[in-house]
Amino acid sequence: MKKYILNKHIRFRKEDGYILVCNCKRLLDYELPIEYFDFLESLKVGVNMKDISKGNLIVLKDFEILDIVVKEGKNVKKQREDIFKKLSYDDSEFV
Amino acid sequence: MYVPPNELNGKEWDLVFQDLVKNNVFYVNISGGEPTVHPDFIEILDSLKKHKLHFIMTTNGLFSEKVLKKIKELEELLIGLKISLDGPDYISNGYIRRDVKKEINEGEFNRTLNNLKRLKEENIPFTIATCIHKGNINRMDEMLALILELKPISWYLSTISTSGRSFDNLDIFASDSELEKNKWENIKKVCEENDIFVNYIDMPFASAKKKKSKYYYQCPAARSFCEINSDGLVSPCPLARVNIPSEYLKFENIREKSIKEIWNGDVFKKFLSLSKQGCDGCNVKDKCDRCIPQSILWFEDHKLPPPHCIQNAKNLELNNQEYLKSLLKEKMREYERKNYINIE
Repeated sequence: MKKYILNKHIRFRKEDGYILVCNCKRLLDYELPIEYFDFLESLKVGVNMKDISKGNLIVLKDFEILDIVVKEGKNVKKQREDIFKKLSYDDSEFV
Repeated sequence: MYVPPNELNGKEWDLVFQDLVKNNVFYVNISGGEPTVHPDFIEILDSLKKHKLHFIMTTNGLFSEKVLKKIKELEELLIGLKISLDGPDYISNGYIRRDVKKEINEGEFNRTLNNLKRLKEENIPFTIATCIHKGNINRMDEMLALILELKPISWYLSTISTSGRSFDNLDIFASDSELEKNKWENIKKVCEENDIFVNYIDMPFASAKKKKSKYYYQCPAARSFCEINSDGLVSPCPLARVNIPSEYLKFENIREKSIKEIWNGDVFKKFLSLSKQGCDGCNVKDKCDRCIPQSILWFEDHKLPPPHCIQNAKNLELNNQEYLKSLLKEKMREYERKNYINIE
């Protein structure tokens, strides 16, 4: 049975009306509806496919595409990318 | 080695990291000064590992083999590593990066270079940061060749910022005419052909795109970012800590309060409120997160627009444009920065 688990680089927290999810290795942020908070919490320890509700199954595919979750035992692919360009405070302060 | 007595020690940093993780801070940026000279630096890295806290590190690259091994050990948590290298040889590199005796040190340059080569061998991605000044401005071709050899992920170039110690060393600035001489676009093109991303920071003359853009501030300070200084002082950003006098804002200390209390506290609220007070007449005041530290640095008055906004006063429709321009000209003369920006 396939088990899904949160990517080890993912951290998340509740913000005002949404969940802010951060891929801390790649400095990518996502905003998710607040109703997925418990599902994300459960993914910290891993969830079997058969135990995932119909509603959550719909978003699971997106989570996998976005590297928010991975199949247990599978390594996250390394990327060669410039993370500093994602840090707005390290760049010019003007827009 | 001298360590200021009020600096947070390794155990205190461990408590800080614990507090940050408890309050859902996603990652930290370890910088300095030079963070690797902290006597408890290995303990600090171990603490990051213990709390599984991702980190970015900015360093001069003079670290020991022990630190290099520890960085390798923490690679999973390492988001980015930025290493300062100003020139292709020890003289141009050491022009402003003197050793503890304030001398240009060939051994230190070689050590940084060796560490960069080791990082390349170990396949640990890094970025090189170069500060442009009078001592390296004419060595950019050789610097480019070295960058291509070291193959960092990215190369960041900036000029010296007009604050802090640089005000006392005005002769180190490359003049505007010297900066214009270099072929910045070609450097960018060559690097990108070699899969090295180049970014010019606050160098509008190096980027035609930014020249045309409408300037206003979009600042993450106290919004998604803050600084914890080595003495525990928590401020919205380094410029705020250095330039805002305590009669404006008295920043609080992480030894006395948690990050949550400070982040949600009155000092940060006041900073945000000052920052949100747009300049008189400005047509983007609703969008702008005005840089209070720069206004205070240049004019000792948080209500006046920062220099780059005065330069762009016409587009921004600022009030009292002639007065602001003459005031800025006077300050540029006073600070001996006649070429800082063109306000004609």
